[in-house]
Amino acid sequence: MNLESKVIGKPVSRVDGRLKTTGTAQYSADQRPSEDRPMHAVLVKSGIPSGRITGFDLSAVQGMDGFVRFLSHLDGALIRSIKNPADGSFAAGEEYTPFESDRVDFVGQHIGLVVARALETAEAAAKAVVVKYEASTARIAFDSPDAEVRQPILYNTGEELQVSRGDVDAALAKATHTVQATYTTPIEHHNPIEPSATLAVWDGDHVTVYDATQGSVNDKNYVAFGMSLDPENVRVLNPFIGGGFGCKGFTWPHSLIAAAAARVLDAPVLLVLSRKDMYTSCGHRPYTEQEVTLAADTDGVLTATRHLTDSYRSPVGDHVEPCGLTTAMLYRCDNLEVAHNVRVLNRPSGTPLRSPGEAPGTFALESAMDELAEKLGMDPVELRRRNHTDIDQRNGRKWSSKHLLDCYDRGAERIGWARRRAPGTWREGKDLVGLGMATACYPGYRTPTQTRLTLDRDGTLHVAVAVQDIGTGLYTVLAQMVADRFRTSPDTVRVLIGDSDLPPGPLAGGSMTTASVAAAVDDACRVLSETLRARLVKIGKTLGNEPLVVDGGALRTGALSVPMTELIPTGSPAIAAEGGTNDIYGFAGGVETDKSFYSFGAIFAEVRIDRDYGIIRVPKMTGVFDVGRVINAKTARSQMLGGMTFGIGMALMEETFIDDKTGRFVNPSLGEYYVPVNADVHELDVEMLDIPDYDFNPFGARGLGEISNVGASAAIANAVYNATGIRVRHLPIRLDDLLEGLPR
Amino acid sequence: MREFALIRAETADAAIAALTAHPNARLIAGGTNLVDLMKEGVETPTHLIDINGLGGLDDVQARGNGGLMIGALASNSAVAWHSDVQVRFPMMSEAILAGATTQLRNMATMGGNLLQKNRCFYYANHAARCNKRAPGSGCDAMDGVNRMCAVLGTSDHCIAAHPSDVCVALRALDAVVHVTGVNGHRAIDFADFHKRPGDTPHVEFELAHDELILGIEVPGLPFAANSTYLKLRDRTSYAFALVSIAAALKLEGDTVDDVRLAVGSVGTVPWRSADAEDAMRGAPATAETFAKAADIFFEGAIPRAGNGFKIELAKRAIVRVMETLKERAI
Repeated sequence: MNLESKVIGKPVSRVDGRLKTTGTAQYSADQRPSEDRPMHAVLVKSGIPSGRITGFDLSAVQGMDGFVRFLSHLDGALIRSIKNPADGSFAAGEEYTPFESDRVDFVGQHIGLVVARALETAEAAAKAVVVKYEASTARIAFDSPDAEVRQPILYNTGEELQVSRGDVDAALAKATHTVQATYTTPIEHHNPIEPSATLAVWDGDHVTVYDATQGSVNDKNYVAFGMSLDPENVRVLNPFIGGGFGCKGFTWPHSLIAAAAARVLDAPVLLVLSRKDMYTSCGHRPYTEQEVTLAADTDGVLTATRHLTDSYRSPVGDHVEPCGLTTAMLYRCDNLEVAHNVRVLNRPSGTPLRSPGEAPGTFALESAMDELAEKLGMDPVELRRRNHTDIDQRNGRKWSSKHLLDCYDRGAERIGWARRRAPGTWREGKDLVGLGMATACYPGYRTPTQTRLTLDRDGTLHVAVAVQDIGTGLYTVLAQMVADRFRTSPDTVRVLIGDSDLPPGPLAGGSMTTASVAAAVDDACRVLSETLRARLVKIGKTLGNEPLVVDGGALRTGALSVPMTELIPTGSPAIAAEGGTNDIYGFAGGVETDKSFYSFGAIFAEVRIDRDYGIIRVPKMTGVFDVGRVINAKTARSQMLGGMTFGIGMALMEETFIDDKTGRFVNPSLGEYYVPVNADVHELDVEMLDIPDYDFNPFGARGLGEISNVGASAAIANAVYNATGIRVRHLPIRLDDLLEGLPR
Repeated sequence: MREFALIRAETADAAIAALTAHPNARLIAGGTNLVDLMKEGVETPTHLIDINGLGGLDDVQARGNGGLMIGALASNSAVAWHSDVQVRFPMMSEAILAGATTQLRNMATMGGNLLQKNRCFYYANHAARCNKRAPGSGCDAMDGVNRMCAVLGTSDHCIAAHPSDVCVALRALDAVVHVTGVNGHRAIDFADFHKRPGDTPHVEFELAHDELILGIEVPGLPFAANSTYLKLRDRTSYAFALVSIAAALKLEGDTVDDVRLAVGSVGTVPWRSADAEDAMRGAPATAETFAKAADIFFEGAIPRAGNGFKIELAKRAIVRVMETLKERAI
């Protein structure tokens, strides 16, 4: 295709970089579209984990200067009764209708909304609302004996959650080398810097929602349904998102509540979630317990694999943490069992968090592989090589493009894997040093996407699609793609995204935006090229087959150069073209294909552990990734750095504690929920193989937002084992896990 | 909304008068802790008395005896980077710089640091029981998430650890807190300034409502030039200590001539053990001596389910810090 592109793969700086670094980018809560100052809304949240609301005492609120209105289920049907529709036209974070009933299913559930003229008043009033409850038995503890346990059939991608092939028990009975262990991962929160925020502005029967969402189209359809409107009467704007990591993926109740309040009050209403709200209002990664059993012959070839995941869901949220899906596809193994149990608990709802399933699942699987390598006396990289496969183990299809073995080679070289020694034997000064590794992988997803392209008289190309840049660099990537097809500079491309009125595109989740827009942009560029060629012919030009070049004020092809002013005479509209694709990859209902699409990688970590204190540092991590063609070397690397940093946090720090008695999260703040600081992050060494996957889309790119977080925690945990000889089977790994057993 | 009046005091007398007039007033200087607690509704003052305008309280004065007088309004940063502090009492400088963040240290004052509240997960959480916040309500930390809590100086009513870094150093250095109030000036030994919880965990300081801190006197201690502060925590910055050590060592040949040792985040107040120091004085400066002192230091410690590791961690840290100071002293 166009491997010699002047723009694809180049480290183009973010086209929106200046706006962001100067603080002039307008995020949802910054928007002030009209002269009317918005009313400020603050949520009233349930203080009990289970029961019903018997009343609200507003006596302390009603006299407050500037207090406007309290809304709750007592105000009648403000929101149309919602269940996630079978047609997939939208996805809500929770399967219940806010303010529909008096029922309470978890602490933090939205049960009321205070609206006031000033934020301070709304906050004070929300605290002063006295809620009366009739509590019922709550099941909060993970081991609640009478909690309902479900075996869900499908993940939200359509992937089967209960998988069985061959005969695991028979294989285990014959096995010479087995590993069986239980691994746990904690509750984790997304903690984007920008909290969720919704500003709803009505104009008659039309509502504009400035929403911090990873999916403007999904948001539009959900709000339209909830407000009983045609989708054309809802416009969602999200030009800038301050991080999401999944908690702004599906639409959560607060967006609808804000829209309903603005309609009732006939005034713009702004609802910004507090940091504390963020812990219970838009999901978390649930705690998981994973039992992994592996058996191998003396050559290290896997003969049996079992991965049983136990997790939970809230009564109103159907998220499953799909830890075993990776296990079902990754290594060649004929006898396999993957199962997912989900307990129904009175806890806030879970939701995807960067690499849902893959991140906690590979912690378990890749730790178990490390344990198996130890038992076999085999190098952990070699064990993975021996179980490598070119066939997707779930469906028997060949991978479209898989270069995982190269990732192992390159990673081992870059980290200096040959330096690795026997567990607990590598000492430098006061430090114990260790190396660990893990395989990373993440599915390639694509969803239907349409794109509008416009060429105007001054030679500027405009690309418009209802997708969003959640900080990943999509503005820039889109400009590069269009520039590539018209052999021009990204500077000549204007990118219009973050608006649900534009041609529909995917939700920013599942690392699928770049691959989805790649196909649509390519098609729209083809349509525009044909339109331009026809126009040139129409104005009497003779064309060859040479490609079109948008060159400043002229359109060139071969030796021909036509001024834009000639192509588009004064008074004529700019030349527009629409293109796109309805193809789906990676989800149920996807295109018929004999290929499987996945990104792969290998993560290596070096740890240094103080041999007295057990403090774990990560002086170096290497990630080598096979993610298809890299569109922008700079923003792609930035994503990988972020994901690997995420991995350090997951491995060593992140944990939300829940109080099993009250159902409350104990540490809902950035001061108490630790993520890495700069001083915790040392050398992050990233290499991308940059091998195009043209079976996947015409730009050859697969997704890369999530894969860099996959395997990172296992690589660090395995390095901790190598350094100390101590196997820690839970996350995060802290010094107190090592203190007693350190080889001092 | 919850309103409060802001009173700008230009003199100590004016501040005292305002405190006296308003029983639910709080002094505010840097506000790095108080404002957070006001947002959480844990502190609900009717009046804030801004003492930033009080003159002459924001400097560090070197005393002829080798000591220092640190004004209550001196910023944490100013003290940490003050050359006399760095030379005479490196443990103090290191302790401050191990705490919080640059931004917070620039705002936070030394007087305020002495008065900062604990960071137990249940303290600022209105849904939880906490005898410090709501006396008599109970303590959810006892059987809750108590990994950060104290093992020394606890009571049946409270196990919250004292969170300050610099107070650990000040405890080791036998600082004296100078305060003034309606009844005039008084000097409070640092050991008496912070109160163990006992039956009244909500009473945290030896400071009457009408009193304000003027300064912190650090007596001269020549061998404190050989001192250090070690902070062990879950991440490298912006985290409270799991265990911290402030120590100074003077050798006479191979023997410990004099020593100071205080440990942070293990006690309900900055903790020091006279017995542990006595066990080192006159003893050979060996790992065995230091380990024995560490054992003595933690005699009577009461671990809970989540924080027992602090004892072993602190003992190892004590030994290593003393070994480090020994090498520096030779």
